[in-house]
Amino acid sequence: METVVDRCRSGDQRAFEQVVALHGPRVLRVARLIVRDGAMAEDVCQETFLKAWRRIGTLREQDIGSWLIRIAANESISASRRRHRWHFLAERLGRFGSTSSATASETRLDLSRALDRLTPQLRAAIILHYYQDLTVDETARALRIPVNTLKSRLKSALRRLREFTGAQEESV
Amino acid sequence: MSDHFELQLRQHLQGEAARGDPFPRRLASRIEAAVESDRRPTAFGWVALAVGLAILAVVLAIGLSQGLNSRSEPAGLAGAWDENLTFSGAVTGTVRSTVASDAEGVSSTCIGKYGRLGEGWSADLVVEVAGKPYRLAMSVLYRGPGTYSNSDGSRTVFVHLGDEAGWQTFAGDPATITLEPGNESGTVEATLTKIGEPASNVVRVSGRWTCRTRL
Repeated sequence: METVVDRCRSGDQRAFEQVVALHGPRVLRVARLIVRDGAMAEDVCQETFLKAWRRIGTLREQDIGSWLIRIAANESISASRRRHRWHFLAERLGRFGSTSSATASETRLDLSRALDRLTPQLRAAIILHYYQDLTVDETARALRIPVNTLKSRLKSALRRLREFTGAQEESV
Repeated sequence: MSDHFELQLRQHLQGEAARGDPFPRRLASRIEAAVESDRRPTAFGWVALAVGLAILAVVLAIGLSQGLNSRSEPAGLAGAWDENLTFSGAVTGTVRSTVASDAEGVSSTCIGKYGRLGEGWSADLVVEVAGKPYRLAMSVLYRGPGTYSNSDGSRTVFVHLGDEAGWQTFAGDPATITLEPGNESGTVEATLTKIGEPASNVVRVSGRWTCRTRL
C-alpha cells in the first residue's frame, strides 16, 4: 500500500501538506527550543519543510518525523550562525548600544535563562537528547558529529546548566 | 541513567515547548506557498548542478595549488592551535599547543567568530599537561570582544578542566577571559576548584590561548 511518504516522493503536494500538518507542530517546538526566538523558529520551520520537499527523494526510511527533526536541528544551528552576522552588523550600526541585560549580575538563573546561555550546538544536543528522547547514537547521527563528541557536549552542557542554576552535582 | 537534575531538565523542556503558541495557520500556508513555488530539480537541473560542481572543484584545486588557502590549519599536527598556557596547583605544567584529539577521539572546538550577543561563547581545547590529556573549556556570556570577569560575583565566565571529576570555576571564583577581535585569541586567568572536594584542591590557569572557529 502506498504511504504518505511514497506519495511525497512521487511529488504529491497534497501528501506533503499532510506531512506539514502532522509534523509541523513538533518541528516548530524543536526549532523554538534551540533558537529561542519565535519568529526565527518559524523561519527555521519553513526552511526545514522546504529542504525536506527538495530532498524527499533521498529519504530511505519511512519515519519522516525523525528525519524532519534532524533537518530542523541542523537548520536551527545554521540560523543561529546567520543571526550572528545580523547582530554583528546591527551592533556596528549602533542599534545594540547597550548590553547591560547581557552583563547583569546574577547569582542564580532559572533553567530557561540558563538554556539561553548555552551555545546553539550544546542546546541542540540537549534538546534532541532530553526533549526528543533520541538516544546518544541517534543524536550524534542527527547532528553529524562523532558519538564521543556528542557525549562530551552533553556533559559540558549539563555541567554548565548545573553551574548556572546552582544545582548540585549528584554524588555517584 | 538520569539523575534528578536531568529529570528536572526534561520536565522543563516539555513545559517550555508546551508554553509556545500552537502551530500557526499562516505558517502552514507559508510552507505550502514556498513548496508550491519551489521546483524540484529537473534532469537538466541535475546536469547543470554537476557542471557547476565540476567547475567549482577545478577552481578550488587551482586556488589550493596557488596557496590561496592561507587560513588553513597549521601543517603537521592536524588541527593544532598555538597556546601559551601555564597550569599550577593540582595540575602543573605548560601547554604550547592543542593536541589533535583525546583518548575518546574528542577534538578541540571553538565557537570563535560565531559568538552571538547574549548567548554562550566557548572554546573547548584538548591539551596535554605534563603528558596527561585534559579538556580545557572556556565559556563566557558573549557580548563582543573584550574582557569578561566574575569579579562582580556574576557567572559571566565559566572555565572547566578535565572531564567527569574535573576542576571548574564556581560563583565567586576569580576568573577573567579576554576575547580579541575575531574571537579566536585572547587570554585567560582563572582559579578552578575540584568538583566535590574541599576548596583547597585548586588549579590555576593563566596565559594566552588561540583557536580557529570549529563547531
